[in-house]
Amino acid sequence: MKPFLVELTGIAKEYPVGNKKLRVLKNIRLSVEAHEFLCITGPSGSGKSTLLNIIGCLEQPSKGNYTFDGMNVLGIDDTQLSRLRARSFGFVFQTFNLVPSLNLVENVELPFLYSREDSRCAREKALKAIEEVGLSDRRGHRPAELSGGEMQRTAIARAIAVNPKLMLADEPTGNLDSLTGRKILEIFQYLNRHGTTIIMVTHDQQVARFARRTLYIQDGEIADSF
Amino acid sequence: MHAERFIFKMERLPIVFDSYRKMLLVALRSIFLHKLRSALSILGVVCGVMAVLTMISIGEGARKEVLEGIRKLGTTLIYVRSTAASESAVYNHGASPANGLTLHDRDRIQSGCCHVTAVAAAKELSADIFTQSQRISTPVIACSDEYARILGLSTQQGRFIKKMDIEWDSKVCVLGQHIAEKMFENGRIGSCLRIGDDIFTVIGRLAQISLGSETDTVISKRNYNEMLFIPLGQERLLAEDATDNNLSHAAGLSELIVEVDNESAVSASVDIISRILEVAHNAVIDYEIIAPAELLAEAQKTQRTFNMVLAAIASIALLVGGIGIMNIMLASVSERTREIGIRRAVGASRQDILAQFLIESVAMTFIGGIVGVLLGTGAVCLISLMATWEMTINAWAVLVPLVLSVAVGLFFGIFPAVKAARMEPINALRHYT
Repeated sequence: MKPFLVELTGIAKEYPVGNKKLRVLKNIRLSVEAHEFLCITGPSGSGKSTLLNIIGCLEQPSKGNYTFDGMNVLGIDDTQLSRLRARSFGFVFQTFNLVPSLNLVENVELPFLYSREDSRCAREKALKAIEEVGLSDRRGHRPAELSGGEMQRTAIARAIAVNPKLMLADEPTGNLDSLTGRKILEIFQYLNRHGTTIIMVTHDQQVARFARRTLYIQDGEIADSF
Repeated sequence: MHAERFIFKMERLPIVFDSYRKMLLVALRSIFLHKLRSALSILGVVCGVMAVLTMISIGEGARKEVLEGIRKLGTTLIYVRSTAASESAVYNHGASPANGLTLHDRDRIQSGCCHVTAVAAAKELSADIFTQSQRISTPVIACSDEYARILGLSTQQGRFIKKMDIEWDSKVCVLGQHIAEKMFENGRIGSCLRIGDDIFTVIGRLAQISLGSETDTVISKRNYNEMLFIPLGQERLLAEDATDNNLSHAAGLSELIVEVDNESAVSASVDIISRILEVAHNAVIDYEIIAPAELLAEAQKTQRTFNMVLAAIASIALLVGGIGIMNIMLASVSERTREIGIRRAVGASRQDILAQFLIESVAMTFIGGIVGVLLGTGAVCLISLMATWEMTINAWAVLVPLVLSVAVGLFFGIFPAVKAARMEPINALRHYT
């Protein structure tokens, strides 16, 4: 039996709101194999982004267990979590999240700064990733000089440059027109075919069709899987 | 196992340094991206560093000047000078006004104080000197043979007054460099001069004596270049012509210069001399005792107080500068919250974020430090030029402000940096500016 890359059991997340607690996730049980392309979908406020953030170690669950690549990530300290994020995860956000003061290459190189990668090696990997997303001619440009699609491709380049075990995308086409969004999703499919495991969050059913498996979340629970 | 881990860490060292180098570049870029804001924020540090450098330089210059002036007087010497006793002191003690210092005092000091190695006696007068074609008014010092040796005066030509000159009542004189130059041919060794009504033979010419700074210390160093020296005892010939204030003390000496065997014996010797003279003068204080070594200690003490005041002023300037830096760094953290979230998401640890913001604040204050040192150096040169003060810019004057500027950056940058490092990645990412 193939080991799971991501294994969540009994995951719950609560946020304090005044004197009450808002339960965003309730007893989530999820397993993701390597090389999967999983889409988490559901209505707004259903908890899909929170789930993605927990998988990406950006926030901690209130309850449950999380094993990533055989390692219990809830038992490790902040520094180890940071290293894990730098080496194993690639993030693509709806709002691109590029550092405005850095140019395209520097933005793509950013994770290598924290994974303590050798400068020359980092530059080579960054340029290769930029080439893969077709932005070689824009590598000296700052985010403000790029279009929405180019910024998202830059974010994808930053995510794939570190050769992550898992790529996490939160509404990657949310700020893009349909044509550019489609191109981005085709890049995701291409990366998945070449072995990258992808978990994508979207509320758009059209976008969800690009994934191989879809989870439907409603009110913090997995309502359906197909 | 430990050794392997150590070797592993050593191998990673260049990469870690490279990471910090990149952080520094990011910091510099951030500083230069907002030039005006950065310039205004470092202004306080610039002023603080300027103040520190200028004050160290002024303090160092003043210290050197005062200490050098006092040291020139000799730190193993004690000056006993004749002063006019107050009428009340004379009345209270029922004693007649003393003749000031006398040769008896010299002998008492020499025999009564074990640390004393020599005592020179001197009487200072003012007299007219006549050559074949000139008349020159100049201070004349009638002194004992030890006078030149104790004060470190050397002759350029001829010799100084010897014991035999005093014993034989020789009418000889030694000229200071400038006075000799003024007399041209008549200032040569063997020439005869008329001082008052008597003819004196020139037997020596003093070497040029450097006066140093114009600034006076508590006891001003005399300008020996302008003086004429005669054997002690010959001054009685000039007494009638004497025009100085010491006429009433004609029988007394102007000064006794006591040499002790070492600097540490000065204080004890001053006490003993004071006691000897108190007894000899029937408690009439018609003299003053000045010890350059004690003045030196006093000057050093004053200097320490001065330094503390300077440090306090500079600290206030740097504190204000530091608060400015903290303010701007807090604004920067708030402004770049989303960037912090991005960095955390792609793998930056809390320490990385802490280092990033600390490097930025230190870089800012260090730049402020460099600008402050440059402007401070300019200010020192300007003040030195305009006020003709001696100011010294030494390594400390440059290093101390620079180190302080780095310390200010670290101290005032730590709070904003910790604030940035404590942010949860997801909260930072959700932040909208």
